[in-house]
Amino acid sequence: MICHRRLLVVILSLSGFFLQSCDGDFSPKAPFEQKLVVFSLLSAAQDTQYIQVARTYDVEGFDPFQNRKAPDVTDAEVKVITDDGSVILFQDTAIQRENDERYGIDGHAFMASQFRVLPRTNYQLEVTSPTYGVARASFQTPNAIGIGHLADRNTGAFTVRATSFGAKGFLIRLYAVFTQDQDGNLVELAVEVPRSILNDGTRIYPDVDRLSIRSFSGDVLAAVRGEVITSDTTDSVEEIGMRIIVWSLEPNAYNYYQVSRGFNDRFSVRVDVPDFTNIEGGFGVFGGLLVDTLFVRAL
Amino acid sequence: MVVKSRTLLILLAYSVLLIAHSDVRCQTSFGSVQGVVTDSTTGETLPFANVVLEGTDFGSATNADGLYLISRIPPGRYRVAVSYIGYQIAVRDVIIQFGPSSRLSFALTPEPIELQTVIKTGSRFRRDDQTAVSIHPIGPEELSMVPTAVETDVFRVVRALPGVVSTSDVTAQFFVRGGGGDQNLILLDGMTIYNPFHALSLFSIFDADIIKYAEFQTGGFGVEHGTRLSSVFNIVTREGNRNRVAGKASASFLAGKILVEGPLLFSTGSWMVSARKSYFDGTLKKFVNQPLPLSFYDVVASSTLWFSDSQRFSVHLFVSGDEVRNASELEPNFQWRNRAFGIKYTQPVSNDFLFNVHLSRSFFKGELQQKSSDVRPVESSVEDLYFYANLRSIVRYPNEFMLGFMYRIPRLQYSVINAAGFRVTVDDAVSEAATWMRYKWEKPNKFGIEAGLRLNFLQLVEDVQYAFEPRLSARYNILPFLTLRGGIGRHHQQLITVTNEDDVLPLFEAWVPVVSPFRPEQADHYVAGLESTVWLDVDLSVQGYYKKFRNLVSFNRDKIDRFDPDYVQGKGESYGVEILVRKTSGKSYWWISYTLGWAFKTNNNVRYSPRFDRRHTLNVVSLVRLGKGWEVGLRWEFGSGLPFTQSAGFYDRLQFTGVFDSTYVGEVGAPYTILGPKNRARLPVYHRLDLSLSKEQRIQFLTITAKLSVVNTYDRRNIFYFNRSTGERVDQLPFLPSLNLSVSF
Repeated sequence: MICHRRLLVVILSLSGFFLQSCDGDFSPKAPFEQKLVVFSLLSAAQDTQYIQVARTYDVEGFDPFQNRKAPDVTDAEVKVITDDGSVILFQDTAIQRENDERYGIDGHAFMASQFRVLPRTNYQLEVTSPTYGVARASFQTPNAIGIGHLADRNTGAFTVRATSFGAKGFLIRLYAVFTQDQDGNLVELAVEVPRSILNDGTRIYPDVDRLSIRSFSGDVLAAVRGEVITSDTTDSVEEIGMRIIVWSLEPNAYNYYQVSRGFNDRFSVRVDVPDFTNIEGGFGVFGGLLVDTLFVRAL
Repeated sequence: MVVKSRTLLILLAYSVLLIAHSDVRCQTSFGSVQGVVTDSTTGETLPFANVVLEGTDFGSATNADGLYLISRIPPGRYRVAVSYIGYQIAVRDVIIQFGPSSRLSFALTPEPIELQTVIKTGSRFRRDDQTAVSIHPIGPEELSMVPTAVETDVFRVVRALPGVVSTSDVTAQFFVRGGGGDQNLILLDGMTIYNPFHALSLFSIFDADIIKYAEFQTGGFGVEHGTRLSSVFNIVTREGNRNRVAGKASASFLAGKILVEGPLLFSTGSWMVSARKSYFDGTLKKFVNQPLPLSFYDVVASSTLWFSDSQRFSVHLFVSGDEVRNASELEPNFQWRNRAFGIKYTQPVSNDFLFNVHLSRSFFKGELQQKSSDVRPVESSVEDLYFYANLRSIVRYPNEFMLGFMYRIPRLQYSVINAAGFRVTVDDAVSEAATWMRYKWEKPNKFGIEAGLRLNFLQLVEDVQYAFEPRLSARYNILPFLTLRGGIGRHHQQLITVTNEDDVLPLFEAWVPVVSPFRPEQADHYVAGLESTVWLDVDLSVQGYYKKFRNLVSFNRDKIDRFDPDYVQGKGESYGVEILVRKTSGKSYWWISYTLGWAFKTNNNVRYSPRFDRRHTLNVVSLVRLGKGWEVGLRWEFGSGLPFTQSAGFYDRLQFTGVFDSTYVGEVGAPYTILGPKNRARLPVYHRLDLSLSKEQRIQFLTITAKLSVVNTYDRRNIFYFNRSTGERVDQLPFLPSLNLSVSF
């Protein structure tokens, strides 16, 4: 009986003690640290390059859309240093956002003109903001792109092979090029050839891939040709050749591009999208792309 | 080559068995007594009853089939006494002679409710002649003593044992000694049940009234058990009443159930059917702020035919279904179903061996349907055809043997819309086989050693992989009241569940096979401990464990594209100390279990604590039988905070849409949550007190039991999870009283 009383006392004491306990030190949020967020893919396709510099942000609650203040960073010094020691300074520029729902239409980016990336060159980025700190990153562009092709006369298939040492990924696009007589003027018509056409008619176009070789089947090419010809009411369409456009991506650009698209893997069972960054002291990506084109005249 | 090595192994095993068997036959200078212990009213066998020769040290406990055998007894006249919880002690005389074993069976009479107190069961003899480590028998007393949410729950008993961590009240899933939730083998009459949990965890998926006994082993388990890394929970159902038609009906304000049982073919057999159905809707919402439209059902049916005490044939069926229909448009609906069917045959081979054959088919299917989308749901299913044959000796001393074989063909399907937006369906059939043998040598009351080897043949269809699993356990009685135990063993697992460990709450765990080029997951167990009777009826057990995991499958955090695998194999380790103090007789029965444990996983070169790494776990469980059918039960559970990953702000992430066509400048990024160091933070501590009060009353041929239970007596707000995107805090079960009324006849 005494034992039962003791047990009861213990229970009541414990109950009282734990009724008072609280979760004061618990927070689902770690201390927020403001960091720079840098996005830039320098391209050999244009002479004007952009670097978008922003910052991380936090909100009072948990919904990031509570943040309506554009996280653009405008007070930074942004420069890219090349192999030969050249320093390219990027200037703060006003840009227009694609949609104005969250932050309004006016945005900022850093821009440099007369700057086109070259093959096999190192580029070092340094972003210094008096408010948000320093972010650094670097990459090396791949070697210049070489393009080879093979047309199989039996099957009608067209195969493209790209080479670009140092590249991790390629985007190989093929366009069937036609001319059409429009009121006496010969107009060029280029139709992208899909990688495949599904039974329901859905067209799957080439995407960035680690493979440097891409084949387009004769059936797909025939379908594209047939479509152009049947839609031609002037009866003047003439196929003049194939245009091959090859992009080569250095590893950082490739990695970020793929990860942000769910690994671009149609057979993966993963539903998560992890992060990739090569920015020291921040987030985002700094990478580069080369591009080359080859026109193959129809025989 | 494969065939040769297999044949060689089988020949070797049989040679060992024959040599050992001849050794048994040489033990003819002593006599023995054997028989079966049953319930006189139902005819059901009673497992783990104490059988002793009064005035001697000879004794034994009945095995799972109610059979006992006491050997190496000097010839003479003895009194055999048999005791079992809730039954009157039976005593009979026997004359032991040289040569053939004397047969003596007992039919125990249940003790009237008014006189019932908790008495010691067969645990002492089981413990004394057992070499296995970390084994927890769960009998009627353990089942009845843990206060229940609504009904008696075998999983709540498990969660109160040392080494077991439970991460929430809302799911009955548990984690053993740093192992994952998928690493627990749950067997119901030999059938593997893949997701043995009902929604909200208020009800066990297995009705306690159908359970004859259960054994839960948290480490170093025997060679007959494989395919899982961390624990084996073996549940055996009752055969049913062999003497008359009986039944039980009960109802609470959440669910109702009915159980009917009776004899078959002039008491040469029996049958039993139990069915439950919930009617949560409209009742739970009174206690929980938001509506919880949950529903479940389960049905268990079995039938057994006896050809002799130890020769029998049984058929088993288990069906369950759960549905969770979230009211919120943003929350998905879930449903899952279990189906299992099995047949078992037990045949004695001479007087020394029992041969068991088991064939079963298990099926599990889970679905998660996002309401905001009309696409097909995420689905995971397992269909498992399983054959098992085992030959074991029933001789207690000095030798015991076992030889067995199993073959299974699990087919797993997983269908999901992946991160790239494509529906992916994976359909794998991965057959596996295993053979095992075990030898146990005993020096009564002093020393025992058990050595076994299990050889697994995995992925039989393609690229066969061999996995050797040596197992060794030993017992040494340092003093009559102090026993040292130890065990080591290797275990492999081919069927696993994989989840995104960054999710605050993994909603859906799909079963997938570990196929080539991956190796099956592996765990090495090292266990050592001391057991002692520190006071007349108080036992103390202190056990330390170390587990080393290899080939643990996790999401590949370094995956970039389709050329990288979805998963990587990493490693892990866990270690800790468990203390169990238990009072096992008298009117009050209690145990206190404490576990101090650490668990770590390493993959992609990151070492972190998995979400079930709980440093301190304490359970206090007590049952006081006040007499005249009154019982008071208590359970208090304390757990230190579980790991989680904090959010550390956001940034807007660009997709670079249009980078190859025009420009990405001006693209507005989508918010991306920055996560803090993986599982570095801890949730608040968990504690909860459950109480129950019950009264059993017999009125003519009816036994009426009323039970008042209170879950979370002091209404502690234990956090379940927080929603990372809304910050909403979801708590576990609040103060929840319930009243259950059952009538049995």
